[in-house]
Amino acid sequence: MALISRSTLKTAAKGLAVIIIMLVAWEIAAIAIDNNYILPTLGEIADVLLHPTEPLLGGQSLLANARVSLKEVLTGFLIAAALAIPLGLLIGWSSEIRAYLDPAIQMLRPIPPIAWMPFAIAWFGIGIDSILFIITLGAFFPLLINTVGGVQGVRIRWIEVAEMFHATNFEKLRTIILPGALPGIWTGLRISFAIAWMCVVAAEMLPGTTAGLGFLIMYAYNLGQLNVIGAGMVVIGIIGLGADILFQAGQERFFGWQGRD
Amino acid sequence: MQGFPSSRGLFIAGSLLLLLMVHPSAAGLFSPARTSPSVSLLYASSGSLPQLLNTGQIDAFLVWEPVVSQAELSGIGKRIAIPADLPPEGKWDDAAINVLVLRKDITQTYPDLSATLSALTTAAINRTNGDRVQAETITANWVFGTEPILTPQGTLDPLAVENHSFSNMVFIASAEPPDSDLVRYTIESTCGETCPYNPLDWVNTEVMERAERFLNGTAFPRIGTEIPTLDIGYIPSSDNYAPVYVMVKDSQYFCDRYGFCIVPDDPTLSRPVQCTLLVNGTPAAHVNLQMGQSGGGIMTTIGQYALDGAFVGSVPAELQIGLGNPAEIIQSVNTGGSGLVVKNGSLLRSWNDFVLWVKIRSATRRPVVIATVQSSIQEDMVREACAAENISVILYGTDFQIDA
Amino acid sequence: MEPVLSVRGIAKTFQGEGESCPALTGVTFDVAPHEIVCIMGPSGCGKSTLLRIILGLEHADTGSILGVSESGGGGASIAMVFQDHALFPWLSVRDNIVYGLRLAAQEVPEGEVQNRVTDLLSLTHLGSFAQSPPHQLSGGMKQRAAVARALAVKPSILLMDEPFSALDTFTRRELEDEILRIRQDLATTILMVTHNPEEAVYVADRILILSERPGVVSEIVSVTLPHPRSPADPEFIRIREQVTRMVQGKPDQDR
Repeated sequence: MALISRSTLKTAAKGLAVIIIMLVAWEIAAIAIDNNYILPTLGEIADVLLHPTEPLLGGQSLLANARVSLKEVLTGFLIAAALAIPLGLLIGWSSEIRAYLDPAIQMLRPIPPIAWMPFAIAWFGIGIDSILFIITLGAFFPLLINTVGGVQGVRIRWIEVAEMFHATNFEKLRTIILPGALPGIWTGLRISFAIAWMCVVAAEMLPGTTAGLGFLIMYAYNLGQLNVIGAGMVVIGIIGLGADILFQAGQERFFGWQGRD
Repeated sequence: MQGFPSSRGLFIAGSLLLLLMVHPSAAGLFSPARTSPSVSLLYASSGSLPQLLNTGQIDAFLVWEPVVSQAELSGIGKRIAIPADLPPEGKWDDAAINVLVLRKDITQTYPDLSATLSALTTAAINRTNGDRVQAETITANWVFGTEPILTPQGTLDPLAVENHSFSNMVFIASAEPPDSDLVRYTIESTCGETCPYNPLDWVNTEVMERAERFLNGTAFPRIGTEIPTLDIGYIPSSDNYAPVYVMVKDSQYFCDRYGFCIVPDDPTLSRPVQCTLLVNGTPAAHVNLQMGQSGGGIMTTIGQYALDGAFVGSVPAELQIGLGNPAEIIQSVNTGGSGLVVKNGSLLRSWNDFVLWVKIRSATRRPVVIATVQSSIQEDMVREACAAENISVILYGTDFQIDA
Repeated sequence: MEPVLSVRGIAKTFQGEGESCPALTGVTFDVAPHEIVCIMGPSGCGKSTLLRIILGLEHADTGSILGVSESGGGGASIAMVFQDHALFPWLSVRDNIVYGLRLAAQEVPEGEVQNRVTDLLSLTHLGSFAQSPPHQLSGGMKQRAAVARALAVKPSILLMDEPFSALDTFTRRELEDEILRIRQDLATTILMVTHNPEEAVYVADRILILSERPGVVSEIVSVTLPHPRSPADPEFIRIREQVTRMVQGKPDQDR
């Protein structure tokens, strides 16, 4: 199986061209402004990126900080999945439960996780727990809503086929609802990971943090080392992009059937 | 779920592998016991420290006034040491804790204005020392406002807090910026030999010398035709900038005594921002006092030309100047003004008691958690004091030991 | 011989949701073993509803169904091929076919499952597509797979709800032939709803005409032409036109 087709390469090249233009513009501006407190040059940023294992600013390395953030986001993300997917299946399945829970969900959903930060500290104390709370909160609602949507997107006809063959309720859940809702759930996972990843950077600005990319960015700001901030941003972007590519690949591999039935 | 099994299996295995790579907590299980005693260092904002102590999430904090006094008077904490008590012995007795910095192009382009600002700072220091009661009142209003301070048990009168706080502060213009291990280590590990650590080189003595002449009357500021605007940063939660508050709120005294002063454009504001520097009654410059959250952030903003100078901690100033910030130190504002605080009711009474406690807790694998503001001189005090006692400093929640 | 299916006085009205669903007011008929019976009638959903009631997906207001209980369980088993094939897109063709067999209700041992699916794949000529996902199949092949899935549980009667109406003429004819062949090979009994008179005359042994008001079986047309039937045959044409007029509610010209 060819890994990358020619048309994929062409499409990728278009995106790459725009990115390259942006980088060139950045570099021109950085040279013109000539103040790395305002705009560091690409070379200065690259210098940090090319030495990811070296301790930065008297603290841990870029890689070590990235690892901390990744660990936080994956943990929070998995907790959110463990909570949101079963609840979403339940809410999608039962209109009764939906009637009870939907208003509360619609009210809580728009609140940005960052607004919860003072409560996070109050309820969970400083340290990893409050960070995980923010991340889990950020990942929870999009996943819940997409799971519900996934369940509601399950065609009634499929359930009727299952009924025709005398499937029990549990069998309906296992053989129809779950696989039928899975594309929606997968989309939810993809969206909620992206949001959780954004939350991690904000959550690490909570007191009690001593590592992570958000922490590194704040620390670098306090030391006026904007090139480290730039490097941190690049790493954040790369990880976000990488995760999205993985989800995208999964989407094509396992859910190629979506929308073609 | 049936169908396409083999790739699914690979996918799951791959994800698990990724998770394992990112979860080094397995490694944490096997880390060897530390041979030397350690403390766990946690960074937090100054305002959150009393509450963290109160809820038992930290065991101690080292921070500036008035947070120390506030914690004490509200029954949360007990101050057991001031910087002068911390090792290395005598290090912090005369070290500048807060300084006035200006960007180099400002002192070059506006030498008289810079010197006037410096002169007013020194004059305000003298005025603060001369009339403590007035200074306490002004500071109470500026930092806390006029309403009582809420505490877990009730309320506090800001004046009472300031009275307590001022007893722990020494305002002095001639203190030198400290020789800081934290700064040296950070600068050397970031750019090595191209950035030598020489804090005294970063002091521009000319400005202060000219200011002296303005103060003793042998010279007088010249006003140019241009009326520039200077944006000066500071941190409004700190008592250590009391002379600045006095300078602005008691401006008439300086106008009368010296002929130059900084007058708020709206005197009714409890924290004026827009002010005017008057020389013999004539506006010579607009001075905006901009509030900041952290010393480091303020210094970065100076480098970005969005601030022109600041009253700021000596360590954040040194850190940034050492890493290339185009600012320079003009003079000091104070020394002292900080405290090591433990929970109220603790039996500890001194730094030595604290050290003993650290060792006991370390031996029982429950290291003391001490909190401070990141990249502040207080952080430096903690690290150097611990190093002097052979106590390792570990970043809270990590395995990472800070090399001081 | 006992009928495989006895429908007695099935009635159902619809609670005015703006649907133009002719009510069933008393549908009665039998289906004999190995018969292919087609139901025709004015467009609307009464015919589909009848099938769904027989299948057990809906309940009639009054009436009874013998041979299979109303809930579809007990008695003999019953399965339906829907108009939109309704294959599960996440399963391969093979896994779709065995879907019913793998449920607890069927209690079929795994060896038997493999035998059945192999037979059905060859019966419906889908052997080379066994591992393909449904979206890679043409419309006709998808319906064949749906038929195989329904047949997997060895239903005593196979219901079909306009199964070929979404297909083009040639594919339709192919599948009609296939249904005839399946009936021949497996001795299946088939009850099919269709709106295509030619299709009905091509496959059916009897054609039931459902009238609109009242919703009853108003006519039954026997088709005794031998297979293979030719649509150009004059007798074929006569029956087709007769059926067409009956569906349109016009009186029978031959009476």
